[in-house]
Amino acid sequence: MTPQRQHRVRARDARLGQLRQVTRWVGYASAALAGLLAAGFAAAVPGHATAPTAPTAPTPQQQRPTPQVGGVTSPDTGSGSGQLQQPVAPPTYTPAPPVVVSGGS
Amino acid sequence: MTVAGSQQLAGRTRATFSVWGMTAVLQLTDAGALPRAHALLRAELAAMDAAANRFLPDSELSRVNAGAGGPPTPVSPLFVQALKEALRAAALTGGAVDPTVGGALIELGYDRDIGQLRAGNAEHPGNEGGRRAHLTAVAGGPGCVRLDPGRPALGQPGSVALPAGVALDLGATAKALAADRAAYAIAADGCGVLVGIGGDVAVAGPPPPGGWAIRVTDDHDEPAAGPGQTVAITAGGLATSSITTRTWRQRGRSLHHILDPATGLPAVGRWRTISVTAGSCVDANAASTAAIVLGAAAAGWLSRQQLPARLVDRGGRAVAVGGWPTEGGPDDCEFSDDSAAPESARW
Repeated sequence: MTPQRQHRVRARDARLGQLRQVTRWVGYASAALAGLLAAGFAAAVPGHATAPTAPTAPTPQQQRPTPQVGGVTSPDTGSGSGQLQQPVAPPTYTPAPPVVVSGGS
Repeated sequence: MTVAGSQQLAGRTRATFSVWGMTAVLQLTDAGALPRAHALLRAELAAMDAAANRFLPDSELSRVNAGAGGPPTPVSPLFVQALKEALRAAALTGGAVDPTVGGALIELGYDRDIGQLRAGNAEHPGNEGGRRAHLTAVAGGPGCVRLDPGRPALGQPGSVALPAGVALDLGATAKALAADRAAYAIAADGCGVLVGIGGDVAVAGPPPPGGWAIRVTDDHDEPAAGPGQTVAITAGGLATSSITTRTWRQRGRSLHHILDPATGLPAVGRWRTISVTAGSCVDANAASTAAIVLGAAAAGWLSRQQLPARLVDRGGRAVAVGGWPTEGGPDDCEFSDDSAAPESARW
C-alpha cells in the first residue's frame, strides 16, 4: 500500500470515528428527550400519581388531606390499590359508654 | 336533607342532627372546634347530596341516570370521586358491591326516599319487579360504566356515560365517603373527630384516651343500651350493613335494600347484620355490604381481606373474624368454620 493510500485510509477511519461519536451522542440526546417528553405527558394526563400509594393504611399522623374538592378536603381512600384498606389496628373491647351507634340505616 | 340541632354549639364537643332520614353524629376531642367542624360537615353533606342523591331530580346522579343511552353527562370532581370509589369497591369485592344496581332497586319499588316508600306501601303500584330487577341487573355491571375523570385543573369536567336501561345507585359508598371526607377535613386542624352518618363511622386525628367507643347493633337508631357490642377504634372507619333496616313491602313480600348484583334481588344469605372496620369508612362499608351479599362465604372472605368483622346471623348468633374482639358471652364466639356452601337466591 502506497503512503498516499495509507493516508486516505487513515483519514477515512478518522471520519468514521467522528461519525460514530456523532451517532452515539444523537442516541443519548434522543433517549433523554424521549424521557423528558414521557414524563411531561404522564404528568399532564388524568390519574397521574405524584408518589406511590402506600400498600398499608396510614396512621393518623400519616394521613394527610388531599387537594380541595367541593370545598372540603378529601381523604385518600386507597383508590387504585388492589385491596380494601386494612385498619391500623383491630377494634378492642371497651366498657366505656359508646359515643355513637353503628347499625344498619 | 334537613339539618337541625346546630344551635349553641360553642363549648360543646358533640352535635347530632337528621340527614337523609338518618341520624348524623359529630363528636370532637376539642370543644372549641365544634362550630367550624359542624359547618364543614354540613357543607360536605350538602355537596354529596347534590352529587349523589338518587331521589333528588336535579342531582348529578339523577342527571347521569336520566342520560343513560345518550351522550356522556358532565359531572363534578366530587361525583367523579364518588363513582370512582363505587367502581373500586366493585372491583375489590368481586362485584358483590355494584353501583349499577340502581335500575334493579327501582324495579323493586325503591324509587323514592325510604320514608315515602314505607308510607306509601299500600299505594305502590305492583309490577313484575323481581323478574325485571333481575334482567336489569344482568344487563348492567360495573364494566358498562364509561367514566372520563376529566382534567379539573385545566377546567375540563369529567363525564359519565351509561348504556340505555342502566341506572346507578351509590348508596353503598357515597354516604361513607362523605363521612371520610368530612372527618379528614375536620381533623386537618389537629382535632380528633368522629363522624357518624346513619351508622357509617369515620374517625380521624388524635383519638381520645381508649379510642372512640362505638356500639354495633342491627339498627343505628337503636339505643346504645340495646343488644350488641361496644368496641373502640382509633383510626379509619367502621360500618355496619343490615338487612333489618331500610325495608319495604311489595306485593306482600318484605324487601331490603342490599341487592345481590348477580340476581338483582335482595341478598338472602345467612347474615342479618355485619360490622367491619377498615382503613377508611368507605372501605368498611364496601366490605360489610359485600359480606351480606356473599352469605356463607362472607366470614372466609373477610378473614382473607384481614378485615376485623362481627357477623350476626338471622338467629342473632354473633361470630368474630379478623381480630374483632369477643365478649366471651354466649352470644359471641370466634368464627372457625367457613365450609358451608353459599346460599342460592330465593325469590
